[in-house]
Amino acid sequence: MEAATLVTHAAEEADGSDDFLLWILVWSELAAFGLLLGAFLVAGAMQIDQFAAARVHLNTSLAAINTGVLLTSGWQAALATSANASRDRARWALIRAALLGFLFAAIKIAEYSGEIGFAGDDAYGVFFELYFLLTGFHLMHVVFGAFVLLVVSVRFAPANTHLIATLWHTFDLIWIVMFPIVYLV
Amino acid sequence: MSSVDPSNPRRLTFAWLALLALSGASAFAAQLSWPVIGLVFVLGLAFLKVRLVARDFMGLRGSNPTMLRALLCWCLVLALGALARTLVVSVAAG
Repeated sequence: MEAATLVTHAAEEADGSDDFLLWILVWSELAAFGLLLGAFLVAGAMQIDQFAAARVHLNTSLAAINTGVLLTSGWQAALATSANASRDRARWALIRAALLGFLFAAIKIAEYSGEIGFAGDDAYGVFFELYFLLTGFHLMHVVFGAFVLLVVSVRFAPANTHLIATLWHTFDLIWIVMFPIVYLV
Repeated sequence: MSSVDPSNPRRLTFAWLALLALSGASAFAAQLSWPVIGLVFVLGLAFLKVRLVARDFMGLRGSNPTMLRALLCWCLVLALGALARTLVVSVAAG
């Protein structure tokens, strides 16, 4: 390969213009959560009374607070990818995004403590099984993502920041859609 | 790189404030006494929030319109599913 071509490819990679694999990862997440949310909706249509009875026990206020926490975290992650952010500012923005991610997890666990007792109760059908599966799967992603945000803040590189920030926003998107479906529909 | 518009941390902050305002409006809409209308509002607001996150936070504004449309379609399919589920419940309840 010509040296000039190699330089062009290297420049493209450094620029991150080839996001093909990143989008495959994003869509694998969206497909998985989309299927789970679809299953939740179908089960809800089949077990109307049980789902209505179960939803009364959810702590919607804590979940609403968590929406604000995750959106704020996403804002910090977006600021870290802003091209005119200095290296130090970007690193601190990533750290703040990660800490807010951990706060989201702490609030979610506090929420679970009041709900875990209802799991397995036949009166609520499969609501709590699906609820813990959906929100727990999302929680695992948030905790993992927060750790990666911290790692990237230490081993800082613009391409890594772009990658983890895009994934982090994907978890935001999933929560934005999950919240009304699980708590309000 | 499909990074955020370089000149606009201010736009990001505006998007964040708009997202918080939409979340507040969503909490209000959920309290409406007409469940189907309230749900349409809540899902509409969720759609707007997804659009804001995808356009501003993910930086898809202008740089990748196909991906932006695909993300909005993902949200729309689930929102329509949720609406259909609520209509089924309403009809079943008579």
